[in-house]
Amino acid sequence: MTKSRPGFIICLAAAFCLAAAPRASAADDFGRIVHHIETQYHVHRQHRWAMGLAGFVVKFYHFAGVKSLKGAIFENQVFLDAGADTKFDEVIRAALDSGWQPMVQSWDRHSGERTYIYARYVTSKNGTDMKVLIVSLEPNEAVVLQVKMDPRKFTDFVEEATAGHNHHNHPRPAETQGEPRVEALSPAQPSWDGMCLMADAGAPSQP
Amino acid sequence: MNRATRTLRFFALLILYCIAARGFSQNAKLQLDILNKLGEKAARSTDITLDGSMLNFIASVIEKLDDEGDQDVAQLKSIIKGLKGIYIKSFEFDAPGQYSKEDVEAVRSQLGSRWTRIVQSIDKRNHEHDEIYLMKNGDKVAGVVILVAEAREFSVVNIVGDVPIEKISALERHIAANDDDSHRKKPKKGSGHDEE
Repeated sequence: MTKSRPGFIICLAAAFCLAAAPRASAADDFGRIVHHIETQYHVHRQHRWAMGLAGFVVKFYHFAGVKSLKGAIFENQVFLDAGADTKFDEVIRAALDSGWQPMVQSWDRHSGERTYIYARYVTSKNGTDMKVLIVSLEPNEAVVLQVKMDPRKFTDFVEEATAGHNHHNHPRPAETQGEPRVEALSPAQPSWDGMCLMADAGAPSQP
Repeated sequence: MNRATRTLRFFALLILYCIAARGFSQNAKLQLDILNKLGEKAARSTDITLDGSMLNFIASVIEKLDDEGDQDVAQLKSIIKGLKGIYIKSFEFDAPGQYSKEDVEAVRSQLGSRWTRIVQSIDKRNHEHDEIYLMKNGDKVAGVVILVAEAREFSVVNIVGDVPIEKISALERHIAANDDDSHRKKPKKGSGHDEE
């Protein structure tokens, strides 16, 4: 019994992850789009465990205000005749009927590249949440992502995350003053007695 | 003046007032859905709709960005603050003549008397016709429409709200300058060694 306990825990965790992982056959728009991609192009999702785990974690720990996360990644797979896939539009249009507002819709007939970003507000216990649906289909990869988040908490997160960001990116005054000094000094050191290992032995030395 | 004439005059004035009020309350948002049919012929189509609560959300995210020391973010904040909607429809075609004059006219006809054309660029050699229209509300800008009609491309950009033109052009100049710098810094493919 003691020996089988880790195995039991792993099985339990796996069951939880699978339960949290979105199934393609689910009746929501995310499920419908993923199901369409899988059946139309005969491709399979990758990193399913990771996405399931991320979705599971987010359910309990609302990182950056994100309350739910569903993701499907298809990498290095061939999406044949994506340009001629007119049914994709029907699936997307069905999503519009269920209340999504289109923000970005882009389609390239030749390459079959499609990008859709839809969003909608939903009422929750604590107010209003925002749902974002991102669909990106390229000749050899596709990503479908659905995120539900608290917009207020998300903006707070952005504020916190970027609070010190610019200070790191922009050089400090001392560093700014230091830069021209380096440039000014470099021509003043023409003779360097060191040896360049990459230089050709037969090449003449620099003046 | 009898009572009937007075009543008639009152109603005539009321109707005139309503017409005038309707004219002044003309929305800067254009009906661009009429162009959706072009999507069937287009090789590449792009449709962007940012308005209402979504634009407010994006604005609130940008508002929270730390602009200390970052001129671009500060400019962007002040630009997005007064916007009410951004609508873009762009179609690229494989061959010329895939859209008609009527399609262009369908957009242009929505630009009533309150719209002023501020830029018109015609290149007959390349069949390019670009226009920029502005709707003013007092001293402020209430909307902008950019119309790009080229042989193989038809694009309409409609921005609704207080668009600070001078700030946009300043931001554009700044970004263009940064782009130039980055291009200059990038070594040319295959010739990088020679340049060094």
